[in-house]
Amino acid sequence: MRDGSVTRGLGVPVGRVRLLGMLFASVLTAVIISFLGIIGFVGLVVPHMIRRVIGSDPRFVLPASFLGGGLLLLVSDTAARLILAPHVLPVSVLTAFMGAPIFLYLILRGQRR
Amino acid sequence: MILSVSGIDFRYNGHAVLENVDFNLGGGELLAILGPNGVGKTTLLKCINAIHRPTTGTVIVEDRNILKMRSDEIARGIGYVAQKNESARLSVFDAVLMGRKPHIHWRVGERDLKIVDSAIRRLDMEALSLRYLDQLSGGELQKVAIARAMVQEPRLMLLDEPTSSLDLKNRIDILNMLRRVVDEHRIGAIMTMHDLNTAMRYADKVLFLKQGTVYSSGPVSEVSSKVVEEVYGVPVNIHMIRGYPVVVPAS
Repeated sequence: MRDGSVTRGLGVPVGRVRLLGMLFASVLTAVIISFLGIIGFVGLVVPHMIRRVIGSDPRFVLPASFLGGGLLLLVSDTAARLILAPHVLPVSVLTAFMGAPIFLYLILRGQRR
Repeated sequence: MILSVSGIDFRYNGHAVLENVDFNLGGGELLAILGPNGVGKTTLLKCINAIHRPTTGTVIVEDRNILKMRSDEIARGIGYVAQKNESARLSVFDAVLMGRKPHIHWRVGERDLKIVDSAIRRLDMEALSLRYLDQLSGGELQKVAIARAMVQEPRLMLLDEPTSSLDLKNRIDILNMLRRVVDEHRIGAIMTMHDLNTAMRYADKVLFLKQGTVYSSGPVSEVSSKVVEEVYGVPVNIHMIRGYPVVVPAS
């Protein structure tokens, strides 16, 4: 499946799907970042947490990650507004606080293998 | 005539892998493509269902030019079983159901489920139906891939070394079943192989590739020890044992 020959054999135009997917993802990311600045680690942390809870069936991981990501940002944003009220902390500070340890954990786990 | 391949050339990074390959396949025929490692057997299969696009030449399946068809149209006519099958966190039933992808538009219908169910039963895999692919053995994965190609309801099946990872019983079961599917539905099937004896026992026709060209092709009964010697470069004798030709290395 890695070279996509089985997928091609099932009638999926692999090259086009990949290209469109990448284009769509880049445009989406670019728009969001240009409005809100960089908010790191959400995409890294959420799917890993979701997989721990509900297993790795992509049918469930994908929608659950959408919801989980939204929820996580909502909570972080609320917290960022409350911690130093009336000053608003950047959300990215909070997500980095959560994301960096998990990121390190993943790297270390990857090395052990 | 189900398949007609004419004048196929395929170049990869400037050097020719296939040169001027021609052959035909009728309904109800099983063809074995033989030849040494790296001679272009897999490449030829991939050219037939347009995973690779031949540099020149045409591939006609049931009067339609494959190279001008959309990939989902091709997938409704041709089932492809790759040499290596990767596992994933996916149940056997779902993996076989993927074979219905080219026929399904929005949601899975009653008929899709029935076809998948009968293919799984046909391959004796009911007990594995809800297991995940990453818990299966290599041979079981191979059977899943074959079942997936069968539920595409293709007119032509391409199998790349379908029996290389199977034990004796499974090998016989799979080939008998392939033979039955080919005979019953009058479809065409092409398999690449290394085992000459298995190929000659189950196929109707054999095609020998040598250095990217067709060295010889024809019915199994016409295979001579001279052809095998010149393709593989080893001296052999062909004996008839219980009505089947068996190749025995001479040295």
